[in-house]
Amino acid sequence: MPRSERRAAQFGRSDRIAVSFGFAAAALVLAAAVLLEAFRFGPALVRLDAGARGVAAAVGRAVANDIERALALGIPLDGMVGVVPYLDAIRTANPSVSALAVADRANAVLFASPPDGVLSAAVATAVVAGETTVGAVLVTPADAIAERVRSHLRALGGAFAILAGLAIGVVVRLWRLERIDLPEARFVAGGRAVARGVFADFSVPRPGPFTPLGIAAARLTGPVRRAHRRFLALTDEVTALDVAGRYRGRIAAVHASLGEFVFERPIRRRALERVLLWWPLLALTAGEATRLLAASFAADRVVSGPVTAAAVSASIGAGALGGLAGLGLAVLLAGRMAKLAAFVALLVAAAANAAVFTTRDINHFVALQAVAGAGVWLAVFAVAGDVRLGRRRPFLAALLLLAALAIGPVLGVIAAEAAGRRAAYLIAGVTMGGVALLVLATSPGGAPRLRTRLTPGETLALATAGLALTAWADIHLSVIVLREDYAGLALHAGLIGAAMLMPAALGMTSRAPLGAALATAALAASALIAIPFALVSLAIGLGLGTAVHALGARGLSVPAIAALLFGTFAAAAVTAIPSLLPDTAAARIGGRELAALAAAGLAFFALITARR
Amino acid sequence: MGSTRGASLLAGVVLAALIALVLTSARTVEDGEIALAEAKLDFILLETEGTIERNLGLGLPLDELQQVEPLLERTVGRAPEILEVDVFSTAGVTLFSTDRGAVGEAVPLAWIAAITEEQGLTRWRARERETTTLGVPLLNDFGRTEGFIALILTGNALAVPLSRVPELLLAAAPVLAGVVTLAALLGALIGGRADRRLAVAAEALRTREAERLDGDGTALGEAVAAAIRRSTRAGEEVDAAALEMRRIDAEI
Repeated sequence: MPRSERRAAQFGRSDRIAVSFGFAAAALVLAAAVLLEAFRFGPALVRLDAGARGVAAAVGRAVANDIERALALGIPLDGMVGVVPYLDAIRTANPSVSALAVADRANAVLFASPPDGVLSAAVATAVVAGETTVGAVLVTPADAIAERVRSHLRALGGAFAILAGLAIGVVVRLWRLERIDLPEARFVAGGRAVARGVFADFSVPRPGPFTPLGIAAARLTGPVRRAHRRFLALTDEVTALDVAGRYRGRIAAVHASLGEFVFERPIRRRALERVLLWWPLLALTAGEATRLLAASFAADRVVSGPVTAAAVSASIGAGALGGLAGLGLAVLLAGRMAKLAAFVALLVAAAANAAVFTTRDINHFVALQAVAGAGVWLAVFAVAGDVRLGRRRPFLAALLLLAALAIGPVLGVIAAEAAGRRAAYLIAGVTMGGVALLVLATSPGGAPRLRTRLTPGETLALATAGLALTAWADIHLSVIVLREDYAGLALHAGLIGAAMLMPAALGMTSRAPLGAALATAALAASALIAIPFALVSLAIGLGLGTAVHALGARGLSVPAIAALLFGTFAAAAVTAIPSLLPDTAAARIGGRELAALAAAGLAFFALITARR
Repeated sequence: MGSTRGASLLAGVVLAALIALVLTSARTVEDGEIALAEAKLDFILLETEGTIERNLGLGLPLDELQQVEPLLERTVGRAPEILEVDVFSTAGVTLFSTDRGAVGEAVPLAWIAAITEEQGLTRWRARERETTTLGVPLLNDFGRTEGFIALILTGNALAVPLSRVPELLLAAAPVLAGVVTLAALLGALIGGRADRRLAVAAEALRTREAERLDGDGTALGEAVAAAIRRSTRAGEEVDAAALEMRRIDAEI
C-alpha cells in the first residue's frame, strides 16, 4: 500500500471511531428523550391539559355572566341576538379556546362558534337565571399550548441528541489527532527506520497511549545498541593492540560487516508536542453561539414593517463587516504581540456580547454585533499570523472551523430556549471572557497557518455557501419560520451542523464549488417549491461543509474566512433590497428569492472558474 | 483509547446532555404553564381593556373616566391570583388603582423597562420580587396610547423559573441511570476495540514475535514487525562481529 494511502487509512480509522462515538451518543440521548417524553414527563404534560381546561372554565364563566345579565333584563335565552358574533370575537381573541357554544337546559346547542366546533370534550358552565339553571356555556379548550410544549420537547430531544453526537465526535477526533494519529505517524516512521537498519536514539513518545509501545521499542533496540557499543570498544582495544597493523584488514572486514546499520544518527529534536487546539475552537464556538439569535433580536427592537428587514440586515451585515475588519487588523499585526492582541480582542468581544443583555436600542445592538465580530476573528488570526510559532496543527483546521460553526449555534439557541435570548448573549460573553483568561494563562499556540491562497473558484464557492447559509438559517428560519420557536431552531441548527461535519466524518473529497452549488440549489428549491425545511437545512449544511472541507488546512485561513464573511454580508445586503427599494421588481421578488439568485450567480462563476 | 476512557467519555457526555435536556425541558414546561396562566389572565385583562377603550372612544380623557374605578374593583375579584389592578398614564403615574394609596404615585421602574422592551405596543410582563405584573396599552380610536392597565399578581401566579426542575429530574432519574449505564458499556466496547492493535503491537515488541503481526495490514503493524525482524538480525550480526573481533584479539 502506498504511503499516502496508509496515512489516509490511519486517519480514516480515527474518523470512524469519532463517528462511532458520535452516533452512539446521539442514539442514546435520542432514545432517552423519547422514553422521557413517553413515560416520565407525563404528569407535567397532563397538568398542562388541566391548565387548558382551567382557561376554558374562566372563559365560560365570563360568557355565562354576560348571558345571565341579558337574562336578568328579560331577554329569553333562545331569543338573544348577536350571540354568535360575540362568541366568534371571544374565540378569535383567545387561542386557548377552540370552540364555544351556548346550550339550553336540554343540552341542545343554540349558538356555536364555529358552527361545527367539537364540543365533546367541552368544559360546561351553568347559566343561571334566579335560582334556576336555564342552560350552559360549553367551551372546548384548544390544546395549542400543550401541543406546542410537546413539539418543543421533541425538537429539544433531537437537538440535544445531535449536539451530544457532534460534541463527542469532535472531541474524540481532535484527541485522537493529538494522542494517537500524530504519535503513531512518528512511531511508524521510527519503526521503518529501524527496519532500514537505523538504530538511532528515537525520542520517547509523550505519556499516553503510546507509552507501552515506546518502552517496548526501547527494550527491543536498546540491547542491540549496547552490544554495538561494546563491539566498538572491543574494536578500539584490538586496533590498539595491533601495533604492527597485521590484522588491520580483518578488523576492517569485521567492521564492514555491520556497515548496513546506522547506530548513531543525530536526531533533530523539535519542541512541538503540546499545542492548544482548544482555545480557537472555544472562542469561535462562543462567537457562533449567538449567530441565529441576532436577526430575531434585531427584528424585535423595531416596529414591524419594512424597517424590520433593514434592522435584520444591518445587524447581520455589521457582524460580517466587523469580522472582516478584525481579519484586516490581524493581517496588519502579522503576528506581532499575538498573545496580547488575542487576549484584548477576546475581552472586547466578550464585553460586546455580554452588553447585549441590557441593550434595547437597535443602533447599539448593531454596533455591538460589529465589535463582537471583529474581536473574535482578530483574536484567532492575531495568533495564526505569528510566523514564529513552530507549533502548528494545520491538518484539521477545516474541522475546527466546521465544529465551531456546527456546535455554536445549537448551544446558543438551546440557551435561548432555556434562559432567554439575552441570557444566551450573556453566556456567550462570559464564555469568551473565560477563553481570554485561558489565552492569558497559557500559550496561545496551535492555530493554523496564515499565509494561504485560495483559487478564485474556491473563494467564490465559500462566499456562495456563506450566503446560502445566512439567507436560510440566520434570516429565513430565525426571523420568519421559527421566530419564537427556539427548540425548533435548535433542531435545524443541529441538522445543519451534523450535515456540515459529514464530509469530514466520511472523508468525502468533493471540490468546493460543488458544495456551493448544492447549498444554492437547496436555497433556490426552498423558494420555488414545497420542500421539507429539514431537507433544505441538511443540504445547505452539507454544501457549506463540502466547500470548507475541500480546503483542508486552508479552511481556517484569512482568505477563507473573508470569503465566508463576504457571503454573510452579501446575504444581509440582498435581503434588505426589497425594503430599501419598495415598489420595484426587487420588492415583489422577495429577500430569500433574491438571495437564491445572488447565490446562483456566484455558484455559476465558481463552477466556471473551477473548470478552467 | 482504552475501555475506561471510552466508557467515562461516552457516559459523561450522555449524562451531561441528558441533564441539560431535562433542565431545558423543565423551562419549556414552565413556559407552557406560564402561557396557560397568562391565557386566563389575558382574557380578563383584555375584557377590562376593551371596556375602558370603549369609554375612551367617547372622547373623554383617561384620567376623567368615572367608570374605571368600579370596573377595576370587579376585575380584581375575577381571579384569586389578582392582587391589585392599576391604570396609569404614559408618563408612568398611577391614575386609578384598587389600592387607593397608589393613586398619584409613579409606577415601578420594572414596568417601564418591560413596556420599553415591547416598544409600548403589545402586552408586557414584569417580574418583581414578590409579584408579577401583566399589562396592556390602552389605545384611543386613533391608535394612540393613552395609558396602560396592569394586573398585579401573586408571586406564584405564574410558574417560577426552575420550579419544575426537581420534579422532572426525579422523574427522569431511572431513565438517566439506565441510559448512562448503557453508554458506559458501549463506550467501553468502542474504546476498548479502538486501539487494541496498539496493545497487540506492544506485546509483539515485548516478546519479539513479529509473526503476531502478520496479516495485521496496518502501517503500525508492518513497521513494528519489520523493526522486530531487523533488530533480531542486527543483534545476531553484531554478536557475530563481536565474536570475530574477540578471535582476532585472542590471536593477537
